[in-house]
Amino acid sequence: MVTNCRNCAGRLVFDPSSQKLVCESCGSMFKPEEFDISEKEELLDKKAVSMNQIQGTDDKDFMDCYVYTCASCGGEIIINGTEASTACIYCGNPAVVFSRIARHKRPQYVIPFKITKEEAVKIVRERFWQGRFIPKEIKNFKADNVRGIYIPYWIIDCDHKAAVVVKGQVSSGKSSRTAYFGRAGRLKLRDLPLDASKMLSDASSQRLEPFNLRVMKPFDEDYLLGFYSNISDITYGHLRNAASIRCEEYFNEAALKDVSGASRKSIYTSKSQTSIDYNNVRYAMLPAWFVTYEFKGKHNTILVNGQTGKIVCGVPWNKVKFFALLILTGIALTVVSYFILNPILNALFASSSGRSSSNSNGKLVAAIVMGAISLFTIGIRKIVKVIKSIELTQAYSIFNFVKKRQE
Amino acid sequence: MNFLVLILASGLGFGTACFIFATLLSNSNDIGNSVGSASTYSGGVVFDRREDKISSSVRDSFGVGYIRGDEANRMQPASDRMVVASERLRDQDES
Repeated sequence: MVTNCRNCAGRLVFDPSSQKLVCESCGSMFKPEEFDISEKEELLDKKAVSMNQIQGTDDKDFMDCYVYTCASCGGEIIINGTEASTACIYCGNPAVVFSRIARHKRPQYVIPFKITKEEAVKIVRERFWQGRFIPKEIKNFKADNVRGIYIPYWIIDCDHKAAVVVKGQVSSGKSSRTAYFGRAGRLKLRDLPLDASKMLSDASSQRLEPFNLRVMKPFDEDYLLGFYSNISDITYGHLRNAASIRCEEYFNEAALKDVSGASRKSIYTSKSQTSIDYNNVRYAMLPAWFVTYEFKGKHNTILVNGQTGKIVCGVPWNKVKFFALLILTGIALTVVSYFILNPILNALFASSSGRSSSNSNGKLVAAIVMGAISLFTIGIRKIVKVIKSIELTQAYSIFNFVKKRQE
Repeated sequence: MNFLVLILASGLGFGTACFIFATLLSNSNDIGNSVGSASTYSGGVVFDRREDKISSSVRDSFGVGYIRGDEANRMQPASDRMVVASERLRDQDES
């Protein structure tokens, strides 16, 4: 609807593999920049109207519903409060809500999709086949939805100053004691992308990084053709908060690494201040594929970076296979450990008569116990991390972000 | 004695198995769990002050004076205002 084919007036969509607009009817190809901006500006007047305004009501159910008229067939398209591009339910034409990306709301940059829909599904399928504990049903998944969505991002530069106190254990002779270490410093972050959509969780969008921002192009509506997109709906308060959290994570990680000679380190206190360079805040649309499938009654949403092809998801695991193998290996390793430890410990305890020898025997036993506890702890932490990742993939919010769009 | 060895051996055996299979599970089912690292966006942290094994009084006051809240508050757009690109922010401020 935005830009029709110059040869046959057919529907144009952006093709990631050729990086051109392709006519679905005659196959003609055009560069997005070939189309004059004035052709698009005529469409600025076509605004999305609130459902409550149309119905003359104040119903909360309609709060986020807007009606937009398709410029191609005149059909009514229902969109939410932040959608900027979608597809017409009647004629299938890609529809860009121009009033939403007009003037001060217009993004400055865009990274066009490089990965096609077919490639995105293929990448996911290939990766799933490499997973040892991924159930066969998931390896042969049938995607319910595959949607290409441009996510709005603010790209910022910021300076972070912080002073933290690190708590850790230091050994002193035979015992260990708690010690505190102070670290104060600065961190400059450049071209940090922050997700500008409240509907998509920061935890999900962060994992899509990194994007290669050097290849960003000046924004053109034609890149949105055939894809869904949202506009920014966050406030400066949200932006500062997100920047501050990211900076703190990076600073704390560096401070913990900087403290040497201590174990079990953690941040005890932290004072910080993040300053954003408001003279260099940039608004960009970055691409992602959202692939959804159902497994055991739960919706799973896989994210694929539309530029690099990076996959982001936690996949439900085959628990029977996992625990059966873990127990069998545990028994085998127990037998091996028994035959190694039995002669060593027997010999040591048999020969120990003096106080110093029993002390060293005690130390050996303590070291084995500590080693076993550490292995369990690290293992359980890793499993918990996988479970959290699966929960994020199955989160209703991300499913909702993808599903609540015109088919 | 044999019982103690069995307990230690099972702890070590199952602990190692737990570690190995958790690592395999993480590699298999937790895909793309990395986030953009600090090195992607910065040259790293520059530490201006390093104090090791500090006393409790220093611990509680560490960083006071180093962080000045008023610096950050200067020229900040209001928190409840929608974010706009820098050039438009300037336009809005001027008007």
